[in-house]
Amino acid sequence: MGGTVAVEIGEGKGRAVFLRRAGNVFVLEKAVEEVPDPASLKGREILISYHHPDILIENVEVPPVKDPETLEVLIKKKLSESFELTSDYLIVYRLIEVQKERAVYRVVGVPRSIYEGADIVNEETKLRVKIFAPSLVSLAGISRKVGEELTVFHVFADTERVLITVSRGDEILYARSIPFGGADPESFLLEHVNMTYIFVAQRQNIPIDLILVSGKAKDLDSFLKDLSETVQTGIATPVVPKDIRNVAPDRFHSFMVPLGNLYLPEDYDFSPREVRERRWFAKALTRSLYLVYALVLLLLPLLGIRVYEFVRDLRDYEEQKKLLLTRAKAFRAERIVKEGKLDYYRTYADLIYRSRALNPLNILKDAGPLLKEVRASTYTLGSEKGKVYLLLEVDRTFPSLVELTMFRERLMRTLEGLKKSKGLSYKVEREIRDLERKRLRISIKVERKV
Amino acid sequence: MRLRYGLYVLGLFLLFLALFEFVRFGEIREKLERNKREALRIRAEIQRRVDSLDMLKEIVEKNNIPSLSREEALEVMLSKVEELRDLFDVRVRRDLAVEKNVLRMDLELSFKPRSGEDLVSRIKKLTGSVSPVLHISRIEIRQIPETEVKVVLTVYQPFLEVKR
Repeated sequence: MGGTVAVEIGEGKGRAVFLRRAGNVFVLEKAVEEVPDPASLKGREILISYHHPDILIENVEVPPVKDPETLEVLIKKKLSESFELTSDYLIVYRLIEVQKERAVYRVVGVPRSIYEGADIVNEETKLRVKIFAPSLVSLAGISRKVGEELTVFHVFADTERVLITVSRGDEILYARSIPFGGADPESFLLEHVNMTYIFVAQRQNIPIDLILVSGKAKDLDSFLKDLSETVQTGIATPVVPKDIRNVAPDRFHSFMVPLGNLYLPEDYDFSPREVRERRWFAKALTRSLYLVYALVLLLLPLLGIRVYEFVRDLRDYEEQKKLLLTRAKAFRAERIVKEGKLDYYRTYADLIYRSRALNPLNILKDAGPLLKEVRASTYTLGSEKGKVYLLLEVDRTFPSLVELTMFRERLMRTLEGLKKSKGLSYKVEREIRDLERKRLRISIKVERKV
Repeated sequence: MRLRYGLYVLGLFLLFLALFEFVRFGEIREKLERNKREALRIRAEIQRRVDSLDMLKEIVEKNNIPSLSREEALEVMLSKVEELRDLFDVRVRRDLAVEKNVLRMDLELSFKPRSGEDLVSRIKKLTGSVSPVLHISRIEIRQIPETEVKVVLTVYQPFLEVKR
């Protein structure tokens, strides 16, 4: 499915062009001279031209507002005030001038009744209608395609009517529809075209760059000849644009109006605001649907990674736990633990260790040289605060002071030596030198940390 | 349109489900990570205990530590005190006490050695005993007026509390 269908609904007669998109071009699938059954349009984007002879083209001045909904209300209000419109109108508008206090819009409008009267527009197709425009506006699409920058005076005729639309780019300047008839079609056409041209170019003061003649009018040679004599502007016939394939020139001309919809800007849709909003919402819904699923798809692998990591970690953990339990079991199976002797042995081992480490006799091994040096009156070996110590109390009388001094010197040297080589610290606790009696009383504490 | 709404609701549901699970798995993993660390810690602790147990076993073997009941412990203790009485003048500084499954007695021994060798051999008798443990806290050797030795020690004997 897919593709586009461009339909014109005329008075009693309709035309429809079925197109499919191939890259940037449209390829014609079929063209029929009737309004197709809405059911046959399934899945297609729908462009509608509705033939309505009178369309409203006015400049409307309103205070400048940003919000499009408010703006539309303001424009409609102004329209009904100035032109005494009785029915509700569907409008599109272009900003043409803006100043501080006011903004001027070119407004094109059609009665709402033509939208509601179009059978092709029903609840099912409504949201697929991309453009609903009067035929006169659709014609401007072709003018726009021919020359975006030019002011184009476009004359289209078929057996029933003549459509004249003056436009520049996507701005409609003037439009008129005349029923075609009379005994002499060529002079009828010439007369009306001439009159309109003079009205537009001179009265309305719109300089025309190009006159386009299309539809049946392009085949009327004497009309073309006479027209070229009365106007100074160049006259041309639109050719099949390059982006429409599989269309013969004659076909192009007879289906000119519906095809013009292909070249209208999207905001030239006259569908009522609420329909456009619903369409926008449906589109947004579709888009966000994609987004939601894209997010789901994005998240799934991440979730997968998480689950994978989790399973891996869980396995790791189970292994750890198993190992732990095995170890714990092995520990509990140990004889000592099983028999409840752990604390007993621990206490016992601790007592043995302490009694050995803090055994004061330990210090004798290192303090040997000192014991040879002195003959103390009292030796005290002990332990306190994580240290073992040896307390020497010497009380000696010497024959001479020299010997006393020398003895003391030797003693100190030995202590220094022990400090350096064995790491024993010492402290002279008390010393009395009685020089008269040549007596030395000294007590020295030698310590070692355990 | 109805299908699209249905898909939309389904998609949203899936999205929230996926998000929810994503977050939840993250949380569970964090918890698991904590448990894993805890397990590692406990494992290290067990390892430490096993190591110290091995060391303890070695000590027990090397020192030939016996396992004694309370009665046996008391007997060992008292016979040791008797033994000491033969060698030294014994004064009890603190009588027999029980502290956390350990019998304890503080003693003060004194003697007058006949010679240097006598002194050494007697002191040597106080070292190396495992059952009971003799913890020497002080040795005093006084040379004047005559050689006199005083030893302050504590006798320890742990015992096994029999489980009932």
